[in-house]
Amino acid sequence: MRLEIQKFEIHSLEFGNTTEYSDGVLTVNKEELTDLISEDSRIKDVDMEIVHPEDKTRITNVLEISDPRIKDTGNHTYYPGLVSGLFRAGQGKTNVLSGCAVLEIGSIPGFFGGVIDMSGEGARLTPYSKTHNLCILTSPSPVVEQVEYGLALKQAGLKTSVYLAGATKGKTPDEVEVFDLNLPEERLNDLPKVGYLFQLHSHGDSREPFVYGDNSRRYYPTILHPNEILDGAVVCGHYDISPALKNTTYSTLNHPVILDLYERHGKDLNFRGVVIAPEPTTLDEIKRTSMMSAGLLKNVLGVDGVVITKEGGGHTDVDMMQNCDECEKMGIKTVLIDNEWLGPEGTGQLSLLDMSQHADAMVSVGNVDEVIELPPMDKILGGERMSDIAGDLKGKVSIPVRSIPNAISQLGLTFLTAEGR
Amino acid sequence: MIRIVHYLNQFFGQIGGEEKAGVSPSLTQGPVGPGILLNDLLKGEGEVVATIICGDNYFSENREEAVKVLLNLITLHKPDALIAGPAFHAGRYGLACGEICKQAKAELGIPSITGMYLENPGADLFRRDVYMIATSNNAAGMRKAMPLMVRLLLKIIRGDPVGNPSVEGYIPRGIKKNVLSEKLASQRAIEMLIRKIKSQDFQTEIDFPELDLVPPAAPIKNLGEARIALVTEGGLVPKGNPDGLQAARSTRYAKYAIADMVSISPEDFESIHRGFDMTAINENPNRLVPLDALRLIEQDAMIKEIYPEYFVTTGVATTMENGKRIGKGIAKELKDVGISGAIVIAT
Repeated sequence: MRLEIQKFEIHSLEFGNTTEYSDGVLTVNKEELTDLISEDSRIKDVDMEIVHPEDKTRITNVLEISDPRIKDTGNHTYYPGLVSGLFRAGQGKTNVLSGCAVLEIGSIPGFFGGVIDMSGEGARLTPYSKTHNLCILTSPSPVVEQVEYGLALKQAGLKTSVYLAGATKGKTPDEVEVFDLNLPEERLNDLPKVGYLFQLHSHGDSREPFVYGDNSRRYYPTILHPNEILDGAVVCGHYDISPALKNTTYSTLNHPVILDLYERHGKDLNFRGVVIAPEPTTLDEIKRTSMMSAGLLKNVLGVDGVVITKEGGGHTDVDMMQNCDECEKMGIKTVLIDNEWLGPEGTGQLSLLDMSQHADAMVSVGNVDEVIELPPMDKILGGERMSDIAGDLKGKVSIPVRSIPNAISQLGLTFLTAEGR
Repeated sequence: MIRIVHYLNQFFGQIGGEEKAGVSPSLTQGPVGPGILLNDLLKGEGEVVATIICGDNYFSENREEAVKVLLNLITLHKPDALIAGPAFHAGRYGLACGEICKQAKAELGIPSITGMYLENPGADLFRRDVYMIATSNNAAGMRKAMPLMVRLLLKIIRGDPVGNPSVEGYIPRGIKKNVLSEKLASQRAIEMLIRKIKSQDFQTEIDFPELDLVPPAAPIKNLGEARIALVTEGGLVPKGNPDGLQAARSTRYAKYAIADMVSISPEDFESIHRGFDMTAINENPNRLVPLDALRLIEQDAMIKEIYPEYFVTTGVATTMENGKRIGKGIAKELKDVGISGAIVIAT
């Protein structure tokens, strides 16, 4: 499989009479896009606003984030199984508007959004303060249930992503990145064989990603080509969980582990492939999935070592440790990426919910509980209140770092870590 | 010039050995004993203006009084900082160093530092409150330890950011702070993996602490005489959560009356736990706190009686320390009223 990601740089994003891309400027026809989203009766009101890096704006109730993408070949759509019919992701040409993000914003009891400051202290911790953001502000129709609103938001966000990227059709990209695992034998022979085990949250509706449009809980551990993940086969479907504990579509499609493994493929490692595995809710099921994942990694992909990431709360530390054990038992060396639960002062004695004597190689993406002081902002977008943050968000506010999207990144798309001090 | 006061015990203060361990605090101008090395290391930046010497036994036997006297003596010289020890493996000395540094910081606002061997009892007790350089287990390590103490203290006085324990040489304080690494986590992971595959050294970023293994209490000999309590971390509270019990990151527990009930009603109780799907519990709270079943057991006189209140906290992302504190609190209350056994329902 050969995938070409064609990147189109955005240095400005604005509303205008037509949706078009030219010289790094993306203009969006607000009415046309609003009509597109309003087709969904599950959404009552639709508004949209554009926010730029350095703005003194605080965006609240951010539920999901994606970047604008479209296939430049074939059916000119994206997100198979969700926005379009099924097709195999990971091949051909894909256009991406980089420097731009689509934010799904909304509020319903039970959903947990995030806070993005476009400037100031909070901006340092999230990549979305550096992107031009199109914020889709919605409210649920009064009769809609939580799960349905989540599905509606998903459609709204993804449709917007494709709609915006449509402006690049036929244009010349600024940069093209090629993803192809095929290399001559000699280049791969003596290199350590490395795989990636991608744990997907699977704790129910509104709490799990979609794989080719189907809920993650319906899958057993299986192998996906890394290109499929880079090209929209896995999409975030979490709304019912804190920002730190889920992987947005944006970060999944810009997957740092997969990109870094690709970068080093043929240089100091042989990237053998990816196993995706659900994170079931019972220990018996976890025993089964971990056994199967280790089997796929060892007996099918033939890896010497594996990077494992998880998605979710403390519960899924159990999955991670079981996976670690099963892999190490098969002679596969493991490195685990995880966040820590150390309380607001960082004094907690247990970083994780579960442990294993084999988990001797771990990378920390930080303490989710550490509190950060955010300065007052001139503007609030998305609502002045949020379900699990006390008080009014307009002025100076202290929030735990887990409420800032991608400050804590379970995929490892972050420089944040926790160290002894 | 930074003014330093140096705290020493009777031995390093050159008063005498174990036989002089009872000497009360005394104050001398300038450096004494290892203070001379300290003074040399401070050259240009600071000086040891005074040395306080206190017998290890005097301190340990009159702690409160000793601290008062010592703090007064320290204040006399208006120092910018306090250095205590290093104490190496000497237990009473280490405890004294840790305590006096902690108090100097807390009561006088004076930055302080000490040094001791990792296994010194003072290390365990005070590592969180006081920076202490990790030393060898005897005074042969003085020439190695003192420069590290000076370097770290100067950083603290200047307000410079203190690095991680292995870089600065201090005993891990059991505190972790979020910092920005130079490399993406994914990159660090892959590099670590390649090193691990090649059997090269690597440094994990998350350590697991030693866990207490708690031996279970002896079984109840006479169950028919036993008073049994119900305890849960399932967050079951009267509807509306009148006491505002936290749904996660709990710091306390509550107790609610079940004296006149034969079962817990879903009309009156609900679970606020954020860690699992509470639908089944909210349909029938006895699935979490099995009062209905226990009442039958009580009626059959298999146990003497059920304690009239159940205890509850919410076990979601609870820190070890809070968990210990909550557990101790509940256990004490139960013990005080003669409960012999508790059914603890975890989720």
